[in-house]
Amino acid sequence: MSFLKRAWLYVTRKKGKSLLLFIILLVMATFVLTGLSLGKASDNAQQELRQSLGGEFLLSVDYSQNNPYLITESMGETGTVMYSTKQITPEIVQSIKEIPGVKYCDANTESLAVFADMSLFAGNIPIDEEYSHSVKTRGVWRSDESGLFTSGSLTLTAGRHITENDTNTAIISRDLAEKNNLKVGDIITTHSNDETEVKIEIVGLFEPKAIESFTDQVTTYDKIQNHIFIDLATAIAIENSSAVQGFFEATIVVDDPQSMDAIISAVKEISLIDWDGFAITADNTAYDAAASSLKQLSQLVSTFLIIIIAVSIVILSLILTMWARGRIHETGVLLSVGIRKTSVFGQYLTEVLIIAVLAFSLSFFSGNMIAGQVGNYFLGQQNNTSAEQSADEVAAADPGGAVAGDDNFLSGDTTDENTTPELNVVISGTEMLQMFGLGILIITLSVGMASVPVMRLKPREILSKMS
Amino acid sequence: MAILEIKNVTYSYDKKRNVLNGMSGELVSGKLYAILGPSGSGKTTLLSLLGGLDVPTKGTVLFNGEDILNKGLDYHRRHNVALIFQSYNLIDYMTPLENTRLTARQEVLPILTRLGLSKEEAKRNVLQLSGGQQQRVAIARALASDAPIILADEPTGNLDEDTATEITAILKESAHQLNKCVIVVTHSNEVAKQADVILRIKRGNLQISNNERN
Repeated sequence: MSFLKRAWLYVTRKKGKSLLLFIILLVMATFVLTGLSLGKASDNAQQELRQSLGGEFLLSVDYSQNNPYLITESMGETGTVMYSTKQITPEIVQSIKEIPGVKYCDANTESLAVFADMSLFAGNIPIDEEYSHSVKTRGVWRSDESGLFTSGSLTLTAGRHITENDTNTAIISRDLAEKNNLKVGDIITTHSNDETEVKIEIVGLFEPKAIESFTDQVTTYDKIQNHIFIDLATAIAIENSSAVQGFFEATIVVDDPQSMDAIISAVKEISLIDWDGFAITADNTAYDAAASSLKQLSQLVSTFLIIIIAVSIVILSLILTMWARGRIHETGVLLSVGIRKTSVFGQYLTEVLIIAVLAFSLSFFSGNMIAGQVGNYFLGQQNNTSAEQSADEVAAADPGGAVAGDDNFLSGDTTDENTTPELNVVISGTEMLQMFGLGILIITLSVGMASVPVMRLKPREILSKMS
Repeated sequence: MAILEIKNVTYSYDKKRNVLNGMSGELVSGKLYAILGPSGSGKTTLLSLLGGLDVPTKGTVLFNGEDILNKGLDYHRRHNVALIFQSYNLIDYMTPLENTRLTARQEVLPILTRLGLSKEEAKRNVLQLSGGQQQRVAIARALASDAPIILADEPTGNLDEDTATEITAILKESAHQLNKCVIVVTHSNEVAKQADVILRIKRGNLQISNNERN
């Protein structure tokens, strides 16, 4: 009689013991499956969070004393201007953009330009008359890579974006265009510092998601409706001095915040950049804050899984050890009639595996029932802890309760929308396969550990124990 | 020719005192042997060595002239010997048919019916059978294995007198009609009386004598 037949007979005839083992294996498999699916859901949520939040760092002109290219020029009574002769060139931006994992490169340079013929939206902070027709121009590499557009704070509603090869092009707000009866294709005029006329074609119109409220303190040239995006060549032409030769800064947005360090290293390897004149400021705080609860959940799930596996091995080994000891008689009989130890071990292993296949398969349903609930419970615990920590941090940082300013309305910071990650706990074929693999490993180890003490005995010793 | 032979077999549990002390002897097919001796004299130890359940401290056990260690004790137990125990040692979740089929190389139902079990009894769980019936199943299992040697340790020890007589008769019949070498360890004089050859163990040595009654 083969060991498979003997195993089948045992499982079907010893119904009580089989049912007990079935329940133990079902519980074990349900928890292992819960742990595995939670782990995967946590990983997926972290990945989605990383992709939704992204990460960014700033490459900018170094305005510290360490920059040997820094020049300070007097502007008469109005003060001084400080600039670096080393600025970010389009070639540098192109090199950065080619690094794998870089999503956007928002290279820009800001300055004020006078558009004397245009009627502007008035701000509520008084300014000198000479700035009454000044607007903030933002020289960009590509406007579609600008953080204001990529974040959704501004939307291009007509025309096209400014590209890296454009000259004498601009994008203005739809409000400003309507106020001045302008449309895409029209020409607006400004003057460079030496009064040279600079003509710029409107290639696109944007609409802001929000404009400053009447309570916001803002100058005319800072009002978003007055902002004008221009290409770098135009920015250089308007400035017409060594103060503007390229971009002052580039905000580099990466696909995955986890790869930020590697991308920063790659940027530092770019030979076009003279690092005496530039500095990098990395900011991963939004991701770190949002991901902290998921990281804690991930750690919790890992611990949960390790505990489940360890407890499963211990419980299963104890039960199977008692089981094996209770079967010394049977083992002795089988050995005495000439059945090999490997065949006896194979029988015991097969018995547990027969029950395990049934229990593991049914754990798909029980696992689905409890995994989601356990996941939400853990996530709820983590969110509560994170919220308490955040509240403590805010209270510590701002004991007076006055949170300064709201001039970040253009920053495109959508962190608040993304800091409450959701877990989509789904048990798929992958988790089932992993659980089967893990379960069979645990069972083999447990049956092995339980059988070794009996199998090491000589048949005569077993028969002595029998009697 | 001897089917089973022991040569200078010594066995010690603690290496201080020998239970078997340089024992030698030959056993042939077609005979019922009874091993007699007081408790602790080494009867079951000798049976274990003959059955390949243990190995002698010194000396050799030969099957058809070959040391049983050459092919391995597993092989010896699987092919050469069949064991019958006082407590039957049946697998409790199997029927008599299934117990007998454990190592069977032939159809087992005729063996069971020949030993007195009905077809219905052969399909019941073994625990639902009487002691005598269980021992018949154990003998059937030994016969079904086709092993030329049957080793029985107190096979009638748990049975009433009538059943013990029947079981002894079956063993004797197996030796004579099936040409098996049947070796029985026993305290029972009734069993000993039926044996063809008496093996007495005294101070670790074997005394072989033909039973004058047979």
